[in-house]
Amino acid sequence: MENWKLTWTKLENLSETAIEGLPDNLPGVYRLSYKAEDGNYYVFYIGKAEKIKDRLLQHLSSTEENICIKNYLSTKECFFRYAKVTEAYIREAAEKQMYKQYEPICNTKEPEGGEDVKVNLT
Amino acid sequence: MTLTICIIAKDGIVLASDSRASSFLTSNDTVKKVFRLDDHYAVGIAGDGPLAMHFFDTIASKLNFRNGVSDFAEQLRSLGKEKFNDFFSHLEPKNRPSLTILLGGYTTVNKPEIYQLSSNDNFVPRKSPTGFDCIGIPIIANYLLNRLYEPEITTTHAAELATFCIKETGSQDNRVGGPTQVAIFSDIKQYAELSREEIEKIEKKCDQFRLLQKGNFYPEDSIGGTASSQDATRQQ
Repeated sequence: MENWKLTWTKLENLSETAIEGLPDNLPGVYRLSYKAEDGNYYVFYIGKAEKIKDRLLQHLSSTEENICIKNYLSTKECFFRYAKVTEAYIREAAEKQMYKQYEPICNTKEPEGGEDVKVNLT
Repeated sequence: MTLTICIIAKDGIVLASDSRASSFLTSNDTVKKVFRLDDHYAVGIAGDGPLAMHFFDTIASKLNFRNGVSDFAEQLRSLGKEKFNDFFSHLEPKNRPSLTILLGGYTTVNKPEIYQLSSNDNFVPRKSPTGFDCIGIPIIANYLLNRLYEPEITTTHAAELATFCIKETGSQDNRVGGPTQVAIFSDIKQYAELSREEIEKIEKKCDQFRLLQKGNFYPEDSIGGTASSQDATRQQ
């Protein structure tokens, strides 16, 4: 079992302004969450991308196909955090691990990443 | 082992099962456990599958479907007791193979009913008071059905609910598994089994159901985190 340490960013408002401030070509994994009435932030989507900035902008764009994400974005105050991960297989494993922990409502299928890599999710 | 479920919907009856037969060492996923007896009567079984098939083959010609499901359950009790005493007269009752039957059908006034009969109990019919019943490994399915079933459910959604219960049980107990089998019928609609494609579509839909919002127990840490992220590093 490989252990990898990820550096997670603070929760940031999921807005074009915040995303535009991210570096270009930044590979990694990310989580989308919403602020609930109880004051907690609950994850509704997890993902991985070779370019996190582009992927997050895509979620905000009108071409987003995931209706569930669209619903959250249009009805809730949403946030994101990410961790930089250059190695593709670590991204895949981290995505799988996040899926297993959060079972996010907007992820429609289980990612195919390996389970022989352990990463920190906070 | 097995999980077979029968659900009464507002427009018919749904019978569904897994297809796994497992022993101490082996398992296979091709066992048929839902059978048509008539256009408006069907059974699901748990226990000794080959014995069930032979049992129904040998009693088929003696069955009378005209007097409603309650009378039919009595016929099954009588024939079951007779056949088991015949087949296994050399065995003490407690050493005989086990066969449990879920019977779905209609009364003479077209009311849907479910009966459970078990060889361990001389096939005494027990009528379901809830609108659903499960045999085999029923604990998870009973919990889910208690939570999710309403008599207003349609056969289309009852097929999804039954499949969901079977898949959830299979995810926790490897004695339940393999392709799901689903049959639907009513007092006016003839018995029909869903095709593999139709069931795959339902199974895919079930994968997207989230019974529990697991993420609700793992909210984000709203304070922690860094301003920017360094690349992941391998730990020793």
